[in-house]
Amino acid sequence: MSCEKFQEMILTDYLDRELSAQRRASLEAHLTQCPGCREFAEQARKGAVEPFEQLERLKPSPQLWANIKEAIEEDPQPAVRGALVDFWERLKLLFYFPRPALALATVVLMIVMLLAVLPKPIGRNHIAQVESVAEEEVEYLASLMEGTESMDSDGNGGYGTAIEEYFL
Amino acid sequence: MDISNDIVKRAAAGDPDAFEEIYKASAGYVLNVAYRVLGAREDAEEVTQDVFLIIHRKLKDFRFDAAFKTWVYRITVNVSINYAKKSNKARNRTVEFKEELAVCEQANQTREADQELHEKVVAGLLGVLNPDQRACLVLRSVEKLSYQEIAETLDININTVRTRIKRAREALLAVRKEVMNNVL
Ligand SMILES: [Zn+2]
Repeated sequence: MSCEKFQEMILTDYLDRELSAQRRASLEAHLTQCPGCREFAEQARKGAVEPFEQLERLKPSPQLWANIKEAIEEDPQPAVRGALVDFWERLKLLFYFPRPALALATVVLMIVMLLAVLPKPIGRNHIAQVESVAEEEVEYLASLMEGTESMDSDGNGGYGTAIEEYFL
Repeated sequence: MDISNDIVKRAAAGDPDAFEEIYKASAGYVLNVAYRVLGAREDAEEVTQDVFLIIHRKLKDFRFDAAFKTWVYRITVNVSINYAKKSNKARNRTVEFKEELAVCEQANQTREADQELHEKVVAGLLGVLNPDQRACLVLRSVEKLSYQEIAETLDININTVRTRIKRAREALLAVRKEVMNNVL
């Protein structure tokens, strides 16, 4: 390996202790033999790493939290409104029927109404039958809606949040 | 930073105490990352305020497939870099700090002897870098994140992390060399 390659390695993985044991051994073997790279490693550590070691850290002031608290309370777009939006989404979902299911539901409803108008002696049995079909249909619709909801929450995927979009 | 999923969920549901817990656990590094990227305390405080406002708004969208810490670091870096790019206060740190760097090198002063001087040098050195390089170097040298963690935080390839750190350090060494040549 050339000195140039070794120095690239020194400037990154070596100084940051990211080298595998094997690579580290081969670099250190080179350092014992090459005064140029040895000097480079020393200068790199002194000039590009040491200045940032054990820097004093700022402590957040009580005023900072007070400001943030106030800003949150006055935020026109707080988390609570997010919950309200969620509520509206759920409400919309409740009234959303997939098209074929809606058509089917309409037909079932029409049959039920038609049978209800028919003379009782003839219709009674049929009505009971159709009503149970209608019940099944309602259950089916409910399961469909659940399906839509879980599909929606899985489909978003992504990394954490849409925070990237926020900054684009 | 140690924040449990439970705290995050409670804060997302609107519990102010839980949000304060999150603040207490993470304000220190949000402030310090912003400070090192921007170079001035007042800018860093402004950015910290924005960061927590964004966290508050976005908490409900947070998904636990990412580490919360990574998420907060990412917001911090993004807001800081945006602020740095937008800020008209084009800081002329590069020009001012060379004298201080020269003094430091010449006298071989210990930091304890002159903390203020050392802070100027650090701000000057970081000021030499572009915001992307600076963010990488701050996450590595100040926050001690691994290359893998930096890659996840910035959503970049680990080799891009390597390249940015390499370029950043080359730039720092070039400035130092220039200053030393002038001194000697
Ligand atoms: Zn060599």
